Amino acid sequence: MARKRTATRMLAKQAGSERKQGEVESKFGEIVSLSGRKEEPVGLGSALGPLNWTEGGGDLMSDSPSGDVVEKVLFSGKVLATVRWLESGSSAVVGSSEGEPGEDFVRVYEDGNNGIDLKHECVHPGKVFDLEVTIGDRNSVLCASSDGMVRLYLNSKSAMERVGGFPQGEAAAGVAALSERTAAGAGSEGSIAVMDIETGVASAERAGGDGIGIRAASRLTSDDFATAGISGFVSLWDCRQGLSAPSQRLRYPRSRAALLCIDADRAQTHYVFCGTDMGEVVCWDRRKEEFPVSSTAPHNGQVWDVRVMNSRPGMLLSCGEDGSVLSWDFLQAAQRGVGAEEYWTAEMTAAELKQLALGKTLGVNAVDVHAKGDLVAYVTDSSTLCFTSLTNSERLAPIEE
Amino acid sequence: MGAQRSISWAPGGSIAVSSVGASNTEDGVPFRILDPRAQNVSAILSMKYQAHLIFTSDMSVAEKSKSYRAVIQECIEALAKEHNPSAQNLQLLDVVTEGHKILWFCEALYFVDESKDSALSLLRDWLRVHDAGVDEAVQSYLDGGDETQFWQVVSRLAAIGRREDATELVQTRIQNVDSRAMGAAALGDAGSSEPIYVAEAALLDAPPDTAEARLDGQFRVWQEECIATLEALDVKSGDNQLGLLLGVLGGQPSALQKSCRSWEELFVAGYLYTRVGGDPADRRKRSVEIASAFQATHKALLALADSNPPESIVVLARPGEYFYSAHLADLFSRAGKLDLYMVPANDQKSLRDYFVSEYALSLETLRGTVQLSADYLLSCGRRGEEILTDILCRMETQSAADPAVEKVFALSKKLSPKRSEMVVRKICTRLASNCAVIGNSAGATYWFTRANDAERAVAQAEASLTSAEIGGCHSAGAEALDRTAEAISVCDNPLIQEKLDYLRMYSELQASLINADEESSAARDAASSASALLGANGGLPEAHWGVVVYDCASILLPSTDARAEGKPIGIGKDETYSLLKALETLSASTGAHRDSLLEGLRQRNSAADPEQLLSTVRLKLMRNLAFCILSEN
Repeated sequence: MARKRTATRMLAKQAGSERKQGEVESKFGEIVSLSGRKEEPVGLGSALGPLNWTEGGGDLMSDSPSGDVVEKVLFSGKVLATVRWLESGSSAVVGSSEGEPGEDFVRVYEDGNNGIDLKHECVHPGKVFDLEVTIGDRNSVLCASSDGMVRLYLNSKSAMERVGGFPQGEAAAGVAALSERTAAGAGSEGSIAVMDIETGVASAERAGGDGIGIRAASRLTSDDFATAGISGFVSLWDCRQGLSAPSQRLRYPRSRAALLCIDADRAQTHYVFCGTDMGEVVCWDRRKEEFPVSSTAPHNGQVWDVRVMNSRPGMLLSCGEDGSVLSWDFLQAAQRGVGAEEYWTAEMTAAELKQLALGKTLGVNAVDVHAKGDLVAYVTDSSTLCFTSLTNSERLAPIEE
Repeated sequence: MGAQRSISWAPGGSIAVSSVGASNTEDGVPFRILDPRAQNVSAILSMKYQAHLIFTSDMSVAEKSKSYRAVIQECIEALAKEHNPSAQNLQLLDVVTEGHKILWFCEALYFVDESKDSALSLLRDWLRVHDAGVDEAVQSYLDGGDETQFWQVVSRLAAIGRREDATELVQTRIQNVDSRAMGAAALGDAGSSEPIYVAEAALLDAPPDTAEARLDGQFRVWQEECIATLEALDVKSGDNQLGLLLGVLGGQPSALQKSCRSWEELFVAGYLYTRVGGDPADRRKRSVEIASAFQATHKALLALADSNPPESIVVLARPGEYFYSAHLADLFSRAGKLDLYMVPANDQKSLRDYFVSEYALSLETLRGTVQLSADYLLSCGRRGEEILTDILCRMETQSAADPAVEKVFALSKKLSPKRSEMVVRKICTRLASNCAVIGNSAGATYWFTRANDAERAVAQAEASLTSAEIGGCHSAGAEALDRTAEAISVCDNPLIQEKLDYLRMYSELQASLINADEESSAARDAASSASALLGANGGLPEAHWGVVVYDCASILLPSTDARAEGKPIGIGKDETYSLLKALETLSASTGAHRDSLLEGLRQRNSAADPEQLLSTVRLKLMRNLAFCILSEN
């Protein structure tokens, strides 16, 4: 017995040999005591750089969180460009943008017996620039591709079908599902097409709508959609009027302002949101005027995605090149005086802005929240698909007790 | 530690977030690899991403080294999970393990504070993790070894600083074996001269193995007592088993050499027991001399032990794999121990910059790692900037919709203004050329303008203008001109904006012409735009004057009947003068120049003779002028 005990103790010592007594070494070499108190954040730099209002000045966030709120990280080995939840099921769809022939894919991750697992992968001919869940069964995804094609990924069949395309040399920059049967695609050189998802027939087309370059598209209603691009304009298109000209144009009043992403509040479609190349999240009320009703710059660098949380009024997600994912609570901000209906115009303060990711990765390229819960998925240049929970933002106070 | 949440889905697609204790996590590794094909690649990539965060952090050298070790350890654990590893996998694991071993050895010898306990404990732990020989020997003895084996194992454990383990073995043997052999009389007799009791006493008398105990002389006093005991027992180290142990504890080189079984063990033993001054270099030198009884297992270890870090960095480098050399060189450089070493054949680049830039270049293969490459290269001075500039210029950026374009622009801002401009110009020129190929003159004008290529921007704008001129205000060309004018207005290049301002005015002219037949205000706007375009500051090339005059004349009242009907005059006297003046400039030209000036008019109305058109326009303008004068009177 004594011999056995001695050998066991020695092996135990060997296993823990790198650590001081009472300490464990966590990811990135953080030293966390066994009592649970973080002793010394070895520090990979602050989670975010200075966060400033574009107007008024002053730091938006005074306390940079030091705890990691990421709950699950899946490593794909490829740069991931976009992610969307399939609402009817329990799947997250991601698209890559590696750019090498045969290297890109659309993947579906689904919860299984062993946790989140890769359900299916379709090799994608080109970078995936945009994914949009279809209307109706909410179980298929439209993909906009660098090869100029808009394709439909059918989750039920685990197969990809071609829907339509743009002229040679023009990439499909964005896609918006308008109804169960129709989708609008936006080409990188400004072409616009409204197409039948099943037949691929274009019901309306326009060449060169915004020749400088479209970056994103978003549905407003079953007849309207919006495009945004590096010209700094948001073009609103009404399919009933044809695509000869935008029904309305919204402008961002800064020279050489590129709008990189766009989304709209499904309940109040007159509110349109864009992320810019200068870290700003901009909101327009298209009933009022062509200029934004609010603009805030919490990100350091490009904002790659904005998503209005349709299941949570007044809440919005954004992510950017600074590696951070932020949740915005406009409803809470509106309680300081703006009318309840006008919450999107409320002025944000640090209290209403929470971090879901701490900037420890490279750029976060896309983010999405599940329609039925508080689960957030985001993808990064570090080849990771990360899952976290909105409730995690409550843990953002410093960890020290 | 706090509970961790996990995501799960309840039947029917509803979401559940469950909490589980940290002890129940799957594997304790932050990245769970889902694609088995990518497992090795992912583990290595993950290590590189995390190392980059450490590299760019503001940690101290010792903290960085420790953090690098942690991420390499994660990689080793991930690689070791392969159930049926191929030869390639095993080779990969060997490389990573080797890097971990050498980095740890460096940390112990160079990066930690010698006056603290870190170096000693790090060396002991390093040996535990990377040399399992002594533990195998212990296990062999525990599985039924004899007395000779017992003494060998105890001496070996003591030699490599694991005196607690040696003491435990001795005490266990006293309890389980020697008590029966020696009889009851010997039991509990601490003053016994039986070798095992002497060994126990010597081990228990050892002061705590701390730097403080070494500095205040306690450790040396204890070592001298061990040697005195050895001499009092009238045995020489190595002559018997107890003598060997006392010789080890007293730091006698011959005893250390007899106790250890590898270069690593002997070096550590020498480092722990050698009785030279406090200078780490002297201690390393003495330890290397002692360890020379064995062949070093790795040249890098020998170089480090021999106070030659550059040699170790060079030895560690493998073709295409500079991760370890780069980070090691960076650590040595930050610690101020590598300044003098240059690579003569490489533009006198420092050894550190050479390996860091080579590593950065090796990262270039994946798009997502360009950010990593950038940060490494930017730490390598001018040459690093050159390489980064080259990498960014070569980035695949074919479409304006590709986020890679913005990412390259963002990275270029980290370069010097001159190089940043070079990158932006290159990328913008490529995008402009792509637009030009597919006939998107607005896009081409925008990107050439951002590239500060005025000549090609103007050429594209001219092409756009020509298209609008030929097609007229209702044509697709006019629409394209609108977009081109807008492109110029948003590109924030004042020089080119000023140079091409006539495009904006021409676009406005065409917009007014659309409604000029119906609205007199639109006709006035058109005339005003035309007058501005043809004026001294208009900037519109003369080759386009003919069509402007022709278009404006086309909205004039066709006959005196119209005036009789009381319709307002669309073009005023001054504007009419401007148009007539432009017309006379065209009429006065001769030869080839005249042909070139009338070419636009010829294309606009191919059915008519340009000379005849000029006459018609002149007539209309003169009549309008007359109306204007009459109207004034």
